[in-house]
Amino acid sequence: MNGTDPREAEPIAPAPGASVALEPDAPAPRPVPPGDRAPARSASVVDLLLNPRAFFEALETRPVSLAMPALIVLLIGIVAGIAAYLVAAAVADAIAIPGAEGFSGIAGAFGLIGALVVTVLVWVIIAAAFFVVSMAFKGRGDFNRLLAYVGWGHLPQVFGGIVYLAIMWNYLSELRIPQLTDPAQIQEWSEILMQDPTMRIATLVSLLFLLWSANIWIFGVRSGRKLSTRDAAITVLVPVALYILVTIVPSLIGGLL
Amino acid sequence: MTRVLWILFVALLACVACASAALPTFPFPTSGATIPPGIETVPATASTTAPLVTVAGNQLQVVSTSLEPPVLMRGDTGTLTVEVANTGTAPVRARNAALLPDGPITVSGDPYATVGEIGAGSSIPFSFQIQAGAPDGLAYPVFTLAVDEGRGIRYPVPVRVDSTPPAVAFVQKPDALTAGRSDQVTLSIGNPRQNQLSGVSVTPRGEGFTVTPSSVFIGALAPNAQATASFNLTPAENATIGFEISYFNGPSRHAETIALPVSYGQSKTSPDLILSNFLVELNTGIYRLTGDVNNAGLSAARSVVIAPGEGVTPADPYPQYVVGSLQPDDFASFELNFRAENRSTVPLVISYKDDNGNPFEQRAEASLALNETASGPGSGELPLVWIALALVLVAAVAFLIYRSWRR
Repeated sequence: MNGTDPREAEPIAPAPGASVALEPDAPAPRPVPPGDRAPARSASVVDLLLNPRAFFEALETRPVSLAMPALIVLLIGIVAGIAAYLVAAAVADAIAIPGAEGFSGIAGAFGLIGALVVTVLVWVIIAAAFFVVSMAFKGRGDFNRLLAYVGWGHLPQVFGGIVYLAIMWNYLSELRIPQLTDPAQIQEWSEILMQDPTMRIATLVSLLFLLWSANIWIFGVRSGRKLSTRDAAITVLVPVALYILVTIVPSLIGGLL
Repeated sequence: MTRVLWILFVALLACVACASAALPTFPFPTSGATIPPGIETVPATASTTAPLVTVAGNQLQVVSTSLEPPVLMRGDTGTLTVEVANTGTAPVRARNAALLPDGPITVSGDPYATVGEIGAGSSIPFSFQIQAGAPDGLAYPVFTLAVDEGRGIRYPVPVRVDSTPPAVAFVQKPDALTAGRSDQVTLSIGNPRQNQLSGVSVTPRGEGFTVTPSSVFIGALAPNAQATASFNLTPAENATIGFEISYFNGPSRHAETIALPVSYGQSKTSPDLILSNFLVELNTGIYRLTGDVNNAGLSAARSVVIAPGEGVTPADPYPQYVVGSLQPDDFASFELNFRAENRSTVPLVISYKDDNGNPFEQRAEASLALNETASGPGSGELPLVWIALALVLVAAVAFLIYRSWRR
């Protein structure tokens, strides 16, 4: 946008708190590009959470590895899948439609697998969105590196998923679901379920950890696409804001409308 | 020996002749032949043997009298039969037979203006139609039979007139009538009379009601016996209800009508269902109301069903609750599920039937104040622990984000 080299416009200082935790299968350091001034350093999960700028700067000197980011995303998928399984099984147990007996296990399995697949897809879609938007700022850097950085940025959502799962577990254990005798009732009850204050708290928690991820993604996009911090923030916040507006806000304010 | 037997035979004939000469005789006609007052006589029946009445030399006598029906009611028509026998050895020519009225008893017609000859050893019944008038009591119409030579027999026949009707009482009846509500009415019909009544039947009379059965036929009712007749009555507003008891005393038909002494109003013994012990929960936007229903009335409530009233939407699994029968002083628990918005109370409808199948409906209200905190959806309450957790997380994440930008 501004037509200047982001590295020149905003030099990055070395991270003072970077600790030593190399990826186990990290290959030999790649040659440092001429525009990159950061020295080859180690990066840890603690850096990712406390000092993401330093974490991604440390990764810049290393070849792209999708193993850990994929593992993080899979963890999120598993946690989300368990939560989906609990909800789906609880609702399926309450369905009293003839022929729908024993639907509980199938619904739970679909919920688990569906959440896992959707989480992986969302990872790729978010990375693609960042990649496309960053093209407007003349971002440089390959998609795999950005995909890896976005995957790293999902880490707060692992914690958010665990908190969400705890809330759901507690909530569903005390929930008495009436007998649902027709699909309209199931739809109606599901909507009511999502409008429950406890569920809103859980959604707010998810939003909170999503915002934390977005904060990390800003630094990841900045490093992965060689953008200024401002451009990186715009690149991340626009899609995230759209995502929040489309998926989270309706469920939060649905019961109030 | 033969001489002795002959002497004994002559002596026996002499004794018989002397005895015949000593029998009393009545001149004909006579008057004032009445039974002294204060002497109770049994009603004349077919088996009654009349006192021996003879006419000198002819041996005519009344051998029996009978009356059908044995006891007359005022206005009744009866048949009085007097049987006269000729106990002599020669036929007797009778001129005429008549029955003279006495007191409330009148005689219809003169069927025996000429009688003719009564053979030796034979008997002739003389039947007269009589009618009873007022007052009740005992009367003695006199039977007369004239023979030649100005002689004959005169015989007063006792006839009882008793107008006592059957005793009718309500064995079962509602304490109050309600329009459109069916009630059972049972009558007891007793026969305090000394003779049997026949063709007894009970028929409801009046306007503005339906009844089942339309009539009850009892048939014969022996003296001192009783029978019952039951009806299911469903009155409309301002119905007039009575029962006609019709019966026959002999050939005469009688009818008595008795009114049903019941006014309109609420029965004092009807079931009275009271709801109590409410417990309200809210879960997934569906209220769950539990409570007790008590029968504070004096009769059983059948087919008790409790359902939410207008303004709320019943929901599964208990959109309504069937309690069934509820005896007096008994109670049962119930549970209801419904949706209600912007309400502080929920109307409840209790429907039930009485023993006759009449439907009734009572209404009540229950507060929707939650008695038990539900953690389910739509309860409208935020668990404090989750709020605290969310605040802590917000602070922690905000700090971490802030810290990441400081570096």
